[in-house]
Amino acid sequence: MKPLDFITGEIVGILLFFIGLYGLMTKKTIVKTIMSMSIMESGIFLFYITINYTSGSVPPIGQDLSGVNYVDPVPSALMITAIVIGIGVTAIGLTMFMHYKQKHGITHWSRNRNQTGSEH
Amino acid sequence: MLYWLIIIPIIIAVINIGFIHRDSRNLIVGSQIGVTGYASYLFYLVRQEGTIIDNMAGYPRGFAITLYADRISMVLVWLTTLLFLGLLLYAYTGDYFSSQFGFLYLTLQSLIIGLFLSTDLFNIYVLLEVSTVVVAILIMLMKDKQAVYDGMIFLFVSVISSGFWLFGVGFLYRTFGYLDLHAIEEIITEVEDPRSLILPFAFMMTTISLKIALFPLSSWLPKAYGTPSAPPVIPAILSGVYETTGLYLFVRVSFMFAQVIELNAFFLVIGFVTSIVGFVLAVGQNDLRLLLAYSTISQVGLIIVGFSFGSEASYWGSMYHMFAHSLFKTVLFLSVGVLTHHYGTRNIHSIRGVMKTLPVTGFAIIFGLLGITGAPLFNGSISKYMISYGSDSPYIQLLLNLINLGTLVYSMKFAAMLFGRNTMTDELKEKNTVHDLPQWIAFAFGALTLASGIFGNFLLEFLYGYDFAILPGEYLEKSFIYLLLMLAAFAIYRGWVRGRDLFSKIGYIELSFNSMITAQVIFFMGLVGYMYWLA
Repeated sequence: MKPLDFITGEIVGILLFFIGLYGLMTKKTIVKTIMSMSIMESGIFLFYITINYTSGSVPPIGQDLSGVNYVDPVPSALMITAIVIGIGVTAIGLTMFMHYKQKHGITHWSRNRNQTGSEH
Repeated sequence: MLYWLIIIPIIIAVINIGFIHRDSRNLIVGSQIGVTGYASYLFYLVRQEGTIIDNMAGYPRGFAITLYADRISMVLVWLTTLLFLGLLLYAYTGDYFSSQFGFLYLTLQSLIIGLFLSTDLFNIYVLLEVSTVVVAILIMLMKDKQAVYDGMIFLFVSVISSGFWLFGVGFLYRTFGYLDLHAIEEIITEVEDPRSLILPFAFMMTTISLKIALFPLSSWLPKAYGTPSAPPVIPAILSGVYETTGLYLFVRVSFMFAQVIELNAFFLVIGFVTSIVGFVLAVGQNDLRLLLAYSTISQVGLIIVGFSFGSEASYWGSMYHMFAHSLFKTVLFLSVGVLTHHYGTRNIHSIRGVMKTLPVTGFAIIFGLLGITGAPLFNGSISKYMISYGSDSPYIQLLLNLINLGTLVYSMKFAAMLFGRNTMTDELKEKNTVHDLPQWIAFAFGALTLASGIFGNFLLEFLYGYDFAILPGEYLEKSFIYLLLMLAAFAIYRGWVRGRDLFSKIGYIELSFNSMITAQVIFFMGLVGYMYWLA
């Protein structure tokens, strides 16, 4: 077993998920929050797409499938939906943020409710 | 058949925003009456013929997206349609009722019904995510500074937690190759190493615990509920219906894992902690909406406690408490909306004399408060009585009574508004009428709270088919305890709360956005660690 065999899609997906979470826990800038969220989601997408993948299998469209291993199409189909939703949510988050920044000039999460955002 | 319940609101929503340029309120109300009627018919069918299962597109069970309506989900769907109809009538005269509001409102209804009916785990993820977006937009409908900030916090925290759900579902799919709740439930015992289910369980439970706002994860809730500019129906929907979706998922998912993973003790402790923290913070609030928001947290803790006892009576007690909580919380949030409209403030100390100026709302509030505290004859008393059946341990009974005492203390604080010298300014008094539609809607829900208490036994049988005999002797004993607790609560209120030193300081404790996410991760890690320690 070569050392690089450990680096499968699933492992990288899990790592990306937690890197994203780390960003969410530590970064106070709202834009960085949105970026971390995207990283986290990419981790999930990668994880799904590589679920139960065996090397040498083929995509299940447009070819004769008798006698060959073909990839489970369900996770990919699910991820198309999830990606679309992810883009939608990111877009809404960015829209809110831009509205907030332009109107009130605030780019950071605040410490408590009564301050509602800070400018530094 | 079931899918009509999900499709019709969406279609009406699209017609409303896309094709009708005049006032479309009547169309929306009409469609709501239709949907409520159809849901009642389906409930009748489920009662007569048993569970309805709809496999979409004719694929076999387990592979298709399945809509599943048994007693539990159908009751909640029916309650949802009823509440949405009532809230719509409440909002009918409001100035915020634009076609944009109608669109979001109907979409949210459809998504929530979908959440109750769907058994497909990925489908549930989609519905959770989209309903989060809709709720976030509803929260910041007025686009002021506070509303946008609260909306963003709610959106991001919820979206991140849905990510946990999606990841958990991925692990399950990897193990079983199914996405259907019931299909997984059937084969879950065949898993070779039960430890491989720890991660998916922890991921999914973290999401659900955040949705229902269990203790370390509850900081988003007061922000989302307490946004000053949001119309009063929004916190009512959030507390009455949206919260219930989370509890429903909690029941379904823990049932799915029940044969392999059982964490009753864990959730019992978390439930008690949530409930106690909830009422302590509720007592500290001066803003009416925030007080009710924290009280929601406290009640949810109690419901989780009931589910975690593992006894049948307390399980159905919690089920009935979900039902009752939807009703009395709707009453209270709507009444707060009325008061804010008439008094022009939401500060608990500057509203007095409601009973004299707005008697209809006054009675609605009394009904709601008697319901939430579990006064004899009201629905809360039945459900709390059943929950207390879960355990014989005196410590647990003591804790349950403590929670009820806390509930009574913040209810006293709330009820202080009803009496005393009127503080409504003459200017506002002339502007508004004493009797208007919103007040009567709040009152109608209050009357339902009373009715579902008086006919509690009958309703339990009617809704869930569960026969529960309430012993008159014990019920009297509980009523006596209630009176004693009420006296104690009154003493506490007079002595400590009114002076508002100790509690109001506690009331300001809250987490920042980053700490909320950290709490989520800690909760997840704790859950995983605890389960590995058990296994």
